[in-house]
Amino acid sequence: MNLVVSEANLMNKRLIEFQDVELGYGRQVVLNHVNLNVEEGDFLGIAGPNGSGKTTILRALLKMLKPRRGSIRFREDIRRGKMSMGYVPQREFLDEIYPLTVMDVVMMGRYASIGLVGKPKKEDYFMVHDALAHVNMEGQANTAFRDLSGGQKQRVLVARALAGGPIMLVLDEPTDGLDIAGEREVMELLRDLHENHNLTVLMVSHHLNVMANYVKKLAIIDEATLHVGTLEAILTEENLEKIYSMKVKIFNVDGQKAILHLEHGNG
Amino acid sequence: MDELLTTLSLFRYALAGIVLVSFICSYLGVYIVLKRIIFVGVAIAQISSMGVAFAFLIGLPPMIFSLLFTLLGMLGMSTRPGGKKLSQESIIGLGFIAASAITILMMAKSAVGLHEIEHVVYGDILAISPLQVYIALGVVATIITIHLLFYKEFVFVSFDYDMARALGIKAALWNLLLYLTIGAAIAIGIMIAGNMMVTSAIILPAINGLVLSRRMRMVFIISSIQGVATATIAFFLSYLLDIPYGPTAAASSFVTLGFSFIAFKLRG
Repeated sequence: MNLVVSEANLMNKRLIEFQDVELGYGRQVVLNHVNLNVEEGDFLGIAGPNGSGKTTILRALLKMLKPRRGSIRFREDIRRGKMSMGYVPQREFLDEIYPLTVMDVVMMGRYASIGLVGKPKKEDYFMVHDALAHVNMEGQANTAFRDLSGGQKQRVLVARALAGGPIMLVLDEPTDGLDIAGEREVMELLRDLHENHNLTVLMVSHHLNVMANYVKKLAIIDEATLHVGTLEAILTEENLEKIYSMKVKIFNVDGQKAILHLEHGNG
Repeated sequence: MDELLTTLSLFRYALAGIVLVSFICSYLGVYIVLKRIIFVGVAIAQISSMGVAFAFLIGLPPMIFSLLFTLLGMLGMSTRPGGKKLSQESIIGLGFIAASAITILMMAKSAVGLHEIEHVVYGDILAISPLQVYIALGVVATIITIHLLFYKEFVFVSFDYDMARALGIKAALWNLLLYLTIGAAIAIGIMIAGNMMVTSAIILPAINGLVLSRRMRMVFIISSIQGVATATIAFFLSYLLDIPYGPTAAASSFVTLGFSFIAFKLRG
């Protein structure tokens, strides 16, 4: 009896399941034999060299790309649209020419609930202000989005994803183009949302140094194949040297991991 | 004063047509400028003119062909026939040059004669019929109703297409609807006010709105007001000074934009 209960709980905790999935565009296969489970409470990072297919996995996960083979299964509440995934796109893809305020941008996260022709109601404004408070931007609702710093913009985009009341945050390169202070600001926010607000976080990034210090589970792409495991199991010098074809050293500095590439022969 | 009233009475349909066209073109122009598809707009205006010339060549109603060619042009511009080898700009440039040349060639071969149809292809506001104004009113009313109802959807898919898709919003369909309304507005505008007036109306008022305001809704409002105001002033200037309407409308809009830039600089 107990065993059945724990199995049911395990199934219930699984949000997304990729089973032997092949992904690609047109005739081009980007990734094959992808097996990946996203469990409730995960802080999962997807890494890999540029062009390896990190964003492709994200698009499949967000139902924007259909698998060519295999299956992607979503938990019942996600499949039925009762629970949503909060997507945070790459900041650089958003055009600054748009004269939108922070409020305008975050309200977009409510559009799926507001529905066609509908206008934002009191509840929607409450959710938006609440989301802004979560990312410490509540005083900036009327500021122009384009006037914010990179780190602030990223926080607003996280707030937009939160405004939809998601079960999980999905972020595409959240620290790209940020200085180290901005990087820390965004990653600490994600850690807080994960640890104190029980949000499942999945992020794609090519910044291994950032991921190494925050994610708990890592998926790394090597030659069109995805390897998944705990951070400790995947993030080894041996794995990185094979994937990136260069000498790599992982240092531990005051409890923080630092990944350095070494010149050939300096081993 | 009497002269003005007589003018208004004589050209009431022309004036109504100009107000309708300038309003819808300057409103939709905000999307054209924000989505950075200005040259798509310019090329589409030329393709629309080609549709009118084609209609004259085969002796059928120009309005239908203006609309048909515009929609086909919009469809063609949204595809990438050259794949990664050709940029979207190349396709737009190709469409513009081909449409310009074919329009003139068809006009030259038309049985009606080059000078007669030149006014229609490039817009002759004095030749507007009441029927054309009623059709324009129907088209403009439909477009603006769609845009007022689905304002947030159009802004969302224009600003963040991927996020809209991730939320389950059918972004491709909304984008298509947006392009179709832009195409319809340009086609009707070409028939009534001509290529130059439409081209300036889809670009200059929107830039003016973006210069003067930092709020999305205000940009639409400023652009629409400026579009209608300059087009109307240009109408009277064109009549009083006996100069062509299209260039007068473009010049009026350009002068207004100049004042906006000065105001923007003074405001700091």
